[in-house]
Amino acid sequence: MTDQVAVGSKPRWQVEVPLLAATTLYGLVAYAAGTLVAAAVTVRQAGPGFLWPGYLLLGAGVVVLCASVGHLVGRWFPSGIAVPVIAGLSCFVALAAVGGPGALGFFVLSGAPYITVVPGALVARLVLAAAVAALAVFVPRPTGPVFRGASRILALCSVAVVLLAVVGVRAAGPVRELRAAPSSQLCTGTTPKICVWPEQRKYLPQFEAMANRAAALPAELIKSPASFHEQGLRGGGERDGDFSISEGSMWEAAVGIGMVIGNASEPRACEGANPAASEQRFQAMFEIDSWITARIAGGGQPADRHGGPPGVDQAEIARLVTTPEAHQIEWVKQRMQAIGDIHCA
Amino acid sequence: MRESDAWRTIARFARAHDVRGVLVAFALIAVCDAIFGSTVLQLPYTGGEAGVPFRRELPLAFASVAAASLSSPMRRFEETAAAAFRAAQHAWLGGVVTSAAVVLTVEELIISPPATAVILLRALLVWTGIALLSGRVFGWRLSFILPMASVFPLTYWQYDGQGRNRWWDWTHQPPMSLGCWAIAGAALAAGSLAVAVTPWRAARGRAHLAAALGRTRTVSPR
Repeated sequence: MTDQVAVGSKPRWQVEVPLLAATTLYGLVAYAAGTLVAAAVTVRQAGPGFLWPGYLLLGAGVVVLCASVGHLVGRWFPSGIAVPVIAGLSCFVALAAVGGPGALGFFVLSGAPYITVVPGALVARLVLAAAVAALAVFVPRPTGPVFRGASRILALCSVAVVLLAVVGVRAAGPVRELRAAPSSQLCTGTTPKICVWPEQRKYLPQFEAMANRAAALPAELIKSPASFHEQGLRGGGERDGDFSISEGSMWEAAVGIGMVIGNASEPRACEGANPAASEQRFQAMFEIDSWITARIAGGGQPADRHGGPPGVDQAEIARLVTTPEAHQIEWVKQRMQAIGDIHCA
Repeated sequence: MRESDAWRTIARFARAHDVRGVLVAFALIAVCDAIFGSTVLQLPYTGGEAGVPFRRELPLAFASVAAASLSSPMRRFEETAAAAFRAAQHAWLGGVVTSAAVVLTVEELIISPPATAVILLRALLVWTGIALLSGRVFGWRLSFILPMASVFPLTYWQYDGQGRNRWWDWTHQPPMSLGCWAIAGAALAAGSLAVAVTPWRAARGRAHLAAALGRTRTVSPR
């Protein structure tokens, strides 16, 4: 009986804190498991940007935020079946609608090295998560006993803090910003040279092979620029002509580099006199670009990639790059000719 | 049993199984489907980011609620081998799953093309089987774990090299896809088995297994 009296006389929030802490711990343990797997897989090839803490903290903040929303819903409507649905769906719908990187920035799907988390904006989001947790703990059930004194002040304060934190999130601005260009670039020792962010160190041997394949393109047809840069490496965010390594895909990088080499090598074409002439020009350009891409990638489009310039049969390009060099040169010459031959406007 | 007694029994059983929570959950999911069903979620997949309409994943919520409704404050008591309780559980589960199917199908027939209604009904059957399996393994309240886990392959590995949905993508394959109906059949079979494998049956199975292994162990040294 002493125990029951002791528990009964405790302020409500002292009973709620361990419950919410337990829920949050479940979420954080699951989140940590995913993080540890990612760390274990990548640690051996990791560059200087290994597991940026900013993104991990942002995710942990969302775990706390959603666990708190669930706790609050559970106190107001105690149903083991409905509460997971209410809390899960509302958090999911809200995050999907306004939580994305382009809106309130509570989650990101991928982080390119030229983008970084803004510390102030991150702190604003963590403060909001903590404020909602306080709200879940201090605000009583509407049907519960009337609360008095210190409890009431705590509850009102937590409501005020949540409102302030929401304002803070808006005031802090976007959660990500462009990163300044690095002081030292990581480049292949080849000609042409390919430069990447230090974070992408593990791709360097593959880029070295790619640069060597670019150097081996037939010199009478192909004029390659001396250097290629990953997006953001020259400052100012994305710029035309710089490549990206989307989801670690060397094919995507080859597409970007292939287009730049194509632009430098194809004859300067005029505007087509009619749609058919323009289409002829673009078709030839797209085909040459695709051929260069397949050459420097060391083979045709991989099975897990699809899409590409319109009207180009990627399977045919894959076959073409395995044919004798003379045949390929002839094929490219035809297309260079076609670009020069169109009726000009 | 008089008719009014039968109704009272059903009402009590329903109350023990949080019928209010089930109804609120179903209503909320239906409203979400109507308002946000067409919202396209940008999710990462093997080739970058792909858009998946929210609606395609919602049958998962219906199925998880239906399986979770097998939980009750009296579940230890119900997990006895009393035939009446087993019959009541089966009838309850049948009723809840049928209600979910009716709500989902009617709503989808109103707001989506008929093909989408069929695909989502099929997805409900698949996820119901998976949810029942999950409920048996982790406890009925946690029947959402395996269905949630299935969303990952469905939104990350769903495309083959040509950008077509793979044969097992039961949220996108056309209504007549045989492979997906086979998955639905297999999932429902697994779910039924999960409901049938009660603690006492599992205990009896373990005893049989131990006996069989014990016999071979006495035989093998010779």
